[in-house]
Amino acid sequence: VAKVYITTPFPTPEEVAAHYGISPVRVAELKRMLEEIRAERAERAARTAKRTRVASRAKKK
Amino acid sequence: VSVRPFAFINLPYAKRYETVLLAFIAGLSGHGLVPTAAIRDPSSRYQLDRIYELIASARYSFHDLSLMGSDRKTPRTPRLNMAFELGLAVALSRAPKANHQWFVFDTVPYRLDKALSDLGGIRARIHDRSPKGVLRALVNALGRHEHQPTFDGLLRIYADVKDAAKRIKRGYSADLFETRPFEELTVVASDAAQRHIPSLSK
Repeated sequence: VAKVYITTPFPTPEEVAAHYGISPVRVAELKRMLEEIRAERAERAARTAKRTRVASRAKKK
Repeated sequence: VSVRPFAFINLPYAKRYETVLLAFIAGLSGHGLVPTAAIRDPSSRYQLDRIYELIASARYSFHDLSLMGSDRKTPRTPRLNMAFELGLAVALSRAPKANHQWFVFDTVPYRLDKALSDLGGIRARIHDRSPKGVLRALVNALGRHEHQPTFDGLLRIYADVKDAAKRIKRGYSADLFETRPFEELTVVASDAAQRHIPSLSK
């Protein structure tokens, strides 16, 4: 089955929001929410990495 | 706002298809498309008019026909909406000067040959209702010469969309198959695409 190649430019979040009638204020809130989500995820990953490091050090001892 | 290629998503509006919906939103946005769907909108006009207009204005449509059983409520009934909407898309794609392409998805290989033999020769793209499965089916269907997303990038977009959906559910809507959550998740997915497709963020 043939693959379809898309050549149109990527829309910006603002363009998608405008199409759906979502206000710029709400777009800013959604972007903030995403930043929070990514920060929490990074924090979780860092905590897990630290725990793993501590556990492997304890094993070596 | 410039005209963008809309991608109509046609799948069962059922809780167990939430992951599939989120994966389609992520995967299509990751290819630079704007997802649309005939999501429930109590304020809207006749559903058939809405669906027709949505498919007609979309450059592509994606039809998941994997829900083939009957529901449990009496009288037990199969869901025919998905096949009906595929029929509309096929008709639109064959109209003079048409500019519409459609894709069919299922979870069981070769089942559509039996269930919808009129499609004869058209192979459904198979997924297992997992995010990876849906995204894999999409990368086999779509590509880009410029800003081609990697599979890993699509998974990251999906992770952002999934976590945003969790917050939306906690915040104001337990049902993602409603207008506002769907529309806001398309904005989230578009933002995630800008971030997780390296050539776009340059």
